[in-house]
Amino acid sequence: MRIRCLEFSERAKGALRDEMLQQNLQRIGVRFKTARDLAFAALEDPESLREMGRALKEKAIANLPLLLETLEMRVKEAGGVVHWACTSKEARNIVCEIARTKGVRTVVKGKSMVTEEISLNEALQAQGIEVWETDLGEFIIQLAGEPPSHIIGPAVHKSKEQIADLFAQKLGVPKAEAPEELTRIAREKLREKFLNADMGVTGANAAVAETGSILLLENEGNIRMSVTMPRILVTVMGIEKVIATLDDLAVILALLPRSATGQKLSAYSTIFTGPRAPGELDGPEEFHLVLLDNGRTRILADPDRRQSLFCLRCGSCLNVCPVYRKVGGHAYGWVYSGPIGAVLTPQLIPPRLARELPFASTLCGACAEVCPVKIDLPKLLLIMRQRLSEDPNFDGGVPLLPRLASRAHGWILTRPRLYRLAARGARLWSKALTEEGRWKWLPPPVGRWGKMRDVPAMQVPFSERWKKLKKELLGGVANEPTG
Amino acid sequence: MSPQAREKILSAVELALGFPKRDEEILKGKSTGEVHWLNPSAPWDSVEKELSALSARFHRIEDTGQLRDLLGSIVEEYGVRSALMWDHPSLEKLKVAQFLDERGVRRVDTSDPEKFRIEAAKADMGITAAEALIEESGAIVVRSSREMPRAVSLLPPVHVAIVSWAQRISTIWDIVPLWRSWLEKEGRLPSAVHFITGPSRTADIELTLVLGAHGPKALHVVALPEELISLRE
Repeated sequence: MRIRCLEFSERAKGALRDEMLQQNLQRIGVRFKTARDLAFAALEDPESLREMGRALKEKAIANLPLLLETLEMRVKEAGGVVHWACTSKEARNIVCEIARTKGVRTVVKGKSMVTEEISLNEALQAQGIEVWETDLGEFIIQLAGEPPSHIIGPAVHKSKEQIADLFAQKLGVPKAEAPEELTRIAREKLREKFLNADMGVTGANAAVAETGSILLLENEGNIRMSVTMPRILVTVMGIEKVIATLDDLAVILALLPRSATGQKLSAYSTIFTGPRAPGELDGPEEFHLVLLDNGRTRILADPDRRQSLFCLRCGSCLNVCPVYRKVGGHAYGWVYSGPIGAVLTPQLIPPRLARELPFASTLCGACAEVCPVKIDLPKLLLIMRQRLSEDPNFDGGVPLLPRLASRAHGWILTRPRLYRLAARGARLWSKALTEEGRWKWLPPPVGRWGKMRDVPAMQVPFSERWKKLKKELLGGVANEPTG
Repeated sequence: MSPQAREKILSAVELALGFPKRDEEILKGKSTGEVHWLNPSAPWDSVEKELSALSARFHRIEDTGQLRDLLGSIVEEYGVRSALMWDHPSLEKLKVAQFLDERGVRRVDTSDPEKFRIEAAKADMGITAAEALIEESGAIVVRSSREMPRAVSLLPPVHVAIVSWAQRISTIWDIVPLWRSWLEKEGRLPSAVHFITGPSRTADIELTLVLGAHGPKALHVVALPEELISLRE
């Protein structure tokens, strides 16, 4: 997938002007957030469930070598094949090689962020293989040639009219705008593909080291189709998705659907272990698991940033983010959007290519409040900002003026006399330009920032007021006779 | 490239974490294989409520007569002309096959493994027997085996799942002991375990809920007294 993170501001502007998108973003934000809040409110102790989620990911990441080796062993015991990929390219090559040697002509895919991350579709298509995204939302955006705009609802930015036009144009069907009818068209088209595809490709919501099982959650049944019908199944997962035990799996089942869509359970939770057992009539004859690093071990090496890897990809931080809810997923320019995207993207791709993203946040903290594994996203955003600012290659994430201003500010702060002088000067300006304690006008470029905010007038600091205050307060005391 | 990548990744992980101690204890689960089944005579209202909220239908049946009536009405409602069913002792004991034959519903022939997929895709209805029903969510739990192919609960537009009154558990936490009991007996989990919570659905177009995205459009969960069903082992 093409990286377009550097166009953030430009694309955000476009998104803000797109009325349809604004309407849809508003709708999903409210809907998903409300559903999630209700689901958690119905729990006896929602906080302890999040604590459990956090604890199981901390345990898994702290014991990653053991878990990965155990997972590999169990998958092999169950009859699967395990592949390891350091980079996107290696992962693509592994999957393409399997497809080539097995004579695969058609691939059906379950929705997966990680295969977007490694740009798998393009690689398979370059080999002349037909690739079908089978989640309805993914199917729509594949036909439109667009990247997903939301982890859970990849096509939420599109209206039914737009989808109807798209189907009529690309599938040659009569134009129908009812969501029921559009869904039926996709069902028929893809049913034929499910029954005839040679290979299914999925991501993984979790992998259980104890048993070598893979968890996949969904509502449509397309993932079940993809892991049941084709003779070859390939699952690609980041190494951070492994968990220790079946007990941990139950926690994920309790936590993930509630966070993602507010459901107690998704319509389908599939836990599969290896390929079909001998004698079984369906299920894949071959199962390949691709374990992907692609920058994850680098993130792991920094104890401060390690928690970025706890993410379950539920999308709840997107739904509450005031920035995401205005600019949408496409503005982020790559696979992962919203607060988690702003944190992950500059860690997974060369940071300079995503330098704007960590700054596209108000640090309001709503994301941290809903995260099912309690990732401290505001802190990670700050860490990423700091790292980017210290990077010698960093050229423009912070525009020149604020950068110079903050440098000047730092310089003045270390010189008390100069500081007092400057503050006094600013107060003179303030006196002239404020009304009822608020600035009426601010000089550019601060002016634009102040347009939407009430900026309080400069105040005389306590240290200076104290002299006068002390006299007033102690005046009485001093007049009293002593002794 | 595979062996090299494996070593590279594993050593990078070891290094990143400062060569952590290998604690095999973390791979041992807490819960045992003792399943806490709910009392069959405890109220069923919440199961009914959950399933109807999911647009699934719940039927609590007392005897085989009621079962035949129910199956008859399902066959009629959806115009079922062919059915795909598991080769399962419970379905056998309930004489479901006989009923279908009497009603003139063609039973899809699953004897030829080569043709299974093509035949299964033609069925109007799939009949399965669940391992458990979760009260909290209305989810049923099914597993796969030679006699219990996965397509039966997936390909046909209508899915009928039978479950015993005694196979009800309270919440998702109670599923772990059931998994462990399978592990203890069989040494591994079944090749596939599915939690099915209502019919297949999507809201990908303008967040409008549509049933029957890729799987069944209708789900009927039928609970029966335990003595009518012979449980495996």
